[in-house]
Amino acid sequence: MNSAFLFGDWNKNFILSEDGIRRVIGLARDRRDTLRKTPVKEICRAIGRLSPFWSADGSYRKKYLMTRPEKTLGLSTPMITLGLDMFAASLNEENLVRRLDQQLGGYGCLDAFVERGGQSYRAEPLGVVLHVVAGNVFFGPGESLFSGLLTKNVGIIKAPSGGWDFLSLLVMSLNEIAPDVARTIGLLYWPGGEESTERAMVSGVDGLLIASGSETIAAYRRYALPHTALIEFGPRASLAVISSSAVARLDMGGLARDVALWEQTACTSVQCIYVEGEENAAKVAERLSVALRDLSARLPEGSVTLDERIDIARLRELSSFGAIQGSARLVLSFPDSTTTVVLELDSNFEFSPLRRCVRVKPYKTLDELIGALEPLRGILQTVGLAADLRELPEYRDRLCAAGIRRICGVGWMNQPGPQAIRDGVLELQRLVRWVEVDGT
Amino acid sequence: MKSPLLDTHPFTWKLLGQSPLYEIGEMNNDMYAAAMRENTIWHYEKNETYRAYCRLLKFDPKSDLLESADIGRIPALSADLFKHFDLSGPHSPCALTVSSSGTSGHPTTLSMDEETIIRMWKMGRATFEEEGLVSSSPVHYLIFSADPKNSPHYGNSLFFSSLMEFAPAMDVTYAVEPSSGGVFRLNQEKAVDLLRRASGTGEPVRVIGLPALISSIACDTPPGQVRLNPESLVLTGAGWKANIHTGMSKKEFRGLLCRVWGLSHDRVRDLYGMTEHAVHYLDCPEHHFHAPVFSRVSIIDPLTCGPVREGEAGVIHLMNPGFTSMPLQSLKTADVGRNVLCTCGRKTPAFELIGRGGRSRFRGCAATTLERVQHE
Repeated sequence: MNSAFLFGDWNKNFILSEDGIRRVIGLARDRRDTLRKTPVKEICRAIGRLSPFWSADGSYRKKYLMTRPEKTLGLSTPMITLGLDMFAASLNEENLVRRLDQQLGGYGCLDAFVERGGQSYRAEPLGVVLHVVAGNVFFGPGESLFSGLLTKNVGIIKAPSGGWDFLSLLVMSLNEIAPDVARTIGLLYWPGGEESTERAMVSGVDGLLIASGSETIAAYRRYALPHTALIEFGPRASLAVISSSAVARLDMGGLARDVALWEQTACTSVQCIYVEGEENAAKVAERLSVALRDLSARLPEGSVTLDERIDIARLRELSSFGAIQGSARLVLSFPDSTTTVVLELDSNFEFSPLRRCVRVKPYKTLDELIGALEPLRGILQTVGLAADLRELPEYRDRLCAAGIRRICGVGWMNQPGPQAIRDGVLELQRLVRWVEVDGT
Repeated sequence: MKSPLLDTHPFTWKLLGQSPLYEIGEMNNDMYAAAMRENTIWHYEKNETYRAYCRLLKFDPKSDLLESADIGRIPALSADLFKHFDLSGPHSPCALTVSSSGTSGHPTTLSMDEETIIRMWKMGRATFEEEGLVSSSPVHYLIFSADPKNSPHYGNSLFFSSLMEFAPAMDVTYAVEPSSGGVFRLNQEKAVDLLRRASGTGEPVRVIGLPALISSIACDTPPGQVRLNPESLVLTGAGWKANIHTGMSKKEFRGLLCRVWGLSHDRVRDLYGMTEHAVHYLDCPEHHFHAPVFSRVSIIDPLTCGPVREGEAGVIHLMNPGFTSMPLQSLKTADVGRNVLCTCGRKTPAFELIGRGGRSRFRGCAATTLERVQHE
């Protein structure tokens, strides 16, 4: 028995039985037509009006911070408030409209047929979309839900573990300012891996937006019916690349932010930093460890689980022995902190234990760097690139071809702009079905 | 057995002869500290890599280990290090090579010299004698791992077989057999057959191995078909985390064996240990583990290596001067445990194993064995 928000009503004793799921799906389907007929500008306005509630001094932001999310999220309060700032900014009405324009070629296609190149098109919502989004970036599930709403999809959202407080307050805030829009949302929680619940849920919806680990995605894919639209965001790896010409003027504070934001749990967080030349790599490693130390005064580290501490200790010890035996050169860490910068001498990409642990690796040529990324081709996400202007075109071209989905400047890896494409996908395009009127 | 290093390691040899086993006094504590110092200096002087690591940490055993209280300063090495680096010293001629895990990509291969093997044997013997588990009456052995002849370097097989030391064997049945393609399978029929036979004759059986495999046989034993001689003994070693998949706790496991095979609770005993450590800890009648006089077990924070608060979970840190072939005298495991209060009467602190820690699926021999076994 759990609390649930069911399309306008809170139910404190909701049982997610077969009957319960049928009821949720039924209610969601009933709301499809209402939301479809709501002008998209009205939806943007409703979402936009939420922004002050979640900005500094916003009432719902305060309520959320009072739930003491630091423990469940493993983030410090300043990190959480930074996230809330970014989330509140993402709700800006103008940005939402611009995002629709950019991805759908004009928001009007969601309300009516529009003429383009002599043809009539309309972007029709999928219908009911189930959102299963991991809470590694705590406001990510909220953003996903709003992407669905923007495209007039009724949303059923599964709160991730530790994500209930944020989502329930978000839904409450929407219910307060735009109850008609809130009536198109169902918020539920069930522990991940409950096959019967997940199968029943996914087989009842028109679309599934899932951002999670490979195993979870594979499971939901199995449960989905052949005609269910699947929008998948799997695990990703991100890196920074610094050419020798960019070392001297490198934004070290920005690189530290790329490592530290969300304690490295985002798909866009840097896990490995490639620097052209071993001596340059050593300089970057040393300066980065200082920058990370400085950053921790403003954005302190969050609480760390025992498992994470075991993994970090393992990295430090293996690297220290590597330094003795010649495979590593530097291990920079602080006794009271999880921050760890390791300079390893091979160019193999390796995953970090997270929590501000990063490997710096030298590369001699761009070919060597691209070769090191080959095993990650399918999962590469963002690269924070620092190179001389003359080098940039070649770096960009080669990184694109290597499988990278997003290239940005160092310091911006975890702060994509309001119009950013999500993980190489025009997400809003995937949430609609294009209807074409041809020759009628 | 004569120790090759008796003259150079006098404190260790005195320590190994101490009794009672679970009572620490000033004298045996000093002896333990001296043995640890002796062992650490041995590795520091003979093992270049270890010495370099100590220097990196600004630790010199000769000047830093002056009192008993200094023993905690010996750098704790992660068990994982031994998977990635060969830390055996050139000083010890290898008598035996043992692998602790083989399928997770980084098997631990340990070399043991004659001295280490003798010490391990002596400590194991002392533990079983103290518990009254050494017997002169012959028993049937049912071993839930492969015959070491078929997997000569595999730590679990060697360890389980070594437990046959403590009672003479009427016969030995290995319930895990090699199959095609390097896969091992559990021969259920063979195991059940032996249990039925022993039940009929009333002769005692010693069942040794992984709990998941033993419980799969016990679960399939029809009620009333097998009643084992009360002197029979079940010894499990590791594999509890893997057993989580079957949903059976240690308590449920004991309950099952008592019910279906007619054993009393004190005849179902568990051992905690690993190939990288020279001591195996036998659980007490309350089923907690206690460190004997020749070792120390603490629950520490993996990053700071400082002790965690009483009763809080941390990683298990094992200290013992048994290994001379590799610097394993202060071993930080990836096992999560906690200190517990125990009223069994043993005077050394008690701990319990909670499970395996870390997210990167550092797995031990038990999981590997289970993976290698294909049920019939």
